[in-house]
Amino acid sequence: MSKISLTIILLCATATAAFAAPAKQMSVNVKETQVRSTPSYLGKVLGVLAYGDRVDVLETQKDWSRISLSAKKLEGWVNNSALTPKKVEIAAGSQAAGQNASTGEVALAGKGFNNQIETQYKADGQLDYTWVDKMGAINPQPETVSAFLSSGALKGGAK
Amino acid sequence: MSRLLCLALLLVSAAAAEAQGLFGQLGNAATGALQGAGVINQDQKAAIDTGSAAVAKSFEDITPEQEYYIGRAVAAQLLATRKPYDVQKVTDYLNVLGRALAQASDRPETFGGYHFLAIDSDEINAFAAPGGLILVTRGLLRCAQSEDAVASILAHEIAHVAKQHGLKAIKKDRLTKAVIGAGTAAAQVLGPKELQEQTSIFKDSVGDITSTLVNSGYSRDLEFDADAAAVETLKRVGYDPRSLVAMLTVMKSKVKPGGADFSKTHPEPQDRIAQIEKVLGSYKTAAPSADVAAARMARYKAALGEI
Repeated sequence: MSKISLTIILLCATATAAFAAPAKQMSVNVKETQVRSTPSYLGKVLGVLAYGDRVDVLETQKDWSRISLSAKKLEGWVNNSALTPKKVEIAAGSQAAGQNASTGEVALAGKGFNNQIETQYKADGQLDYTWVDKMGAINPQPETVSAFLSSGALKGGAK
Repeated sequence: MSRLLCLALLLVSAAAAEAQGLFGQLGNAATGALQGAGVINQDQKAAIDTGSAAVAKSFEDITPEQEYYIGRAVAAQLLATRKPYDVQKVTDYLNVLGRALAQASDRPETFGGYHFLAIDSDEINAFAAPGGLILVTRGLLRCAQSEDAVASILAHEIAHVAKQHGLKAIKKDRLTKAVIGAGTAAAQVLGPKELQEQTSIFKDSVGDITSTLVNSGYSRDLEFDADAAAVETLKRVGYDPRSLVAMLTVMKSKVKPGGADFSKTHPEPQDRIAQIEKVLGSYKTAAPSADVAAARMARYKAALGEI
């Protein structure tokens, strides 16, 4: 084998190794995410994971991971955009993550523009967050979205 | 040797352009391999690693949670001078359609999710705050003449969120300060001085984004990028991506050059159309059956017929 082709193979191997090999554990990186029966947003919702939940990844298909979380007795598919390989540490004494996570209690690798900053910012600028909160609370049911897609002869939007 | 050098350069440039963040992780191994292969020397390796690490620092270290708080503040600023168009059927329609599109985007889930709101204004404009709070004016919605066209507007805004274009508007030096400052203040209530400093960085970051959205606009490349991603999303869901071209054609006829709306912050519609046509090539959407087309039109009219 020539030196050049050997080097090319090595380069490819390095790149592959860096991208492949999914981590065995991942953390939920969004307020909450749904666990589904199939790797699709059309899959039945089996349960909900919260910010910081650390899950075992059993397998990965395209943009979805089949996870299990024994503490919640949950096993099913979660979209990868809701997961991070980083450990999301939630400080002791904090409320469950999600909307109530506040005042710097949530440490994601120890960082934060957080609720405490938002409260200060809001007060400084005398800003009204009423509609921001209202917007955040608008959450169409998964069945509503599925029915909308189906009646418009649209696909489940699989990437 | 030249063949290998080409390959190496390709790898490096592709990684740098495609994945600013990924390259931060991949960088050391890849550049190590390049150095090992004698393609680059120690100094070159160090320069590449340092460069990519700096890029990674600015983007990777803004967590989805931080992005969420930034986006809420941007939306609050935008809503301070804009009145929501508070009509339930409009809000419902935009949010169901928007959710369906977001699920087909490259980033279906953000920390707080995607949410949509119409703004009571004749202006032709739309704003995507980081994390997924998306505002669309009645004036822009009136340019749409079908569900597919409304979908094309929302898909473009979703793309700005998915690709984190808003966060890119934050000045780099601020970001670094925010990242470093925040690191020292983990998991504890900030003291008055730190709180003031952090809030000040936060305020300036929010200001960078808001002024970009309202005044200067994103670069042409980012707009074209969002259009290309919108085309992809529309195709995945089954909408006609040419509806984006149809939208822009209507906008072109309605927007006043030099006005304070969309035209101020976006490339000329004809330039965007030309770029979109390049992406579309000969792509053709199978026309929906008459029943389906009628069903989509009926729900579009029921929700937005009087917009």
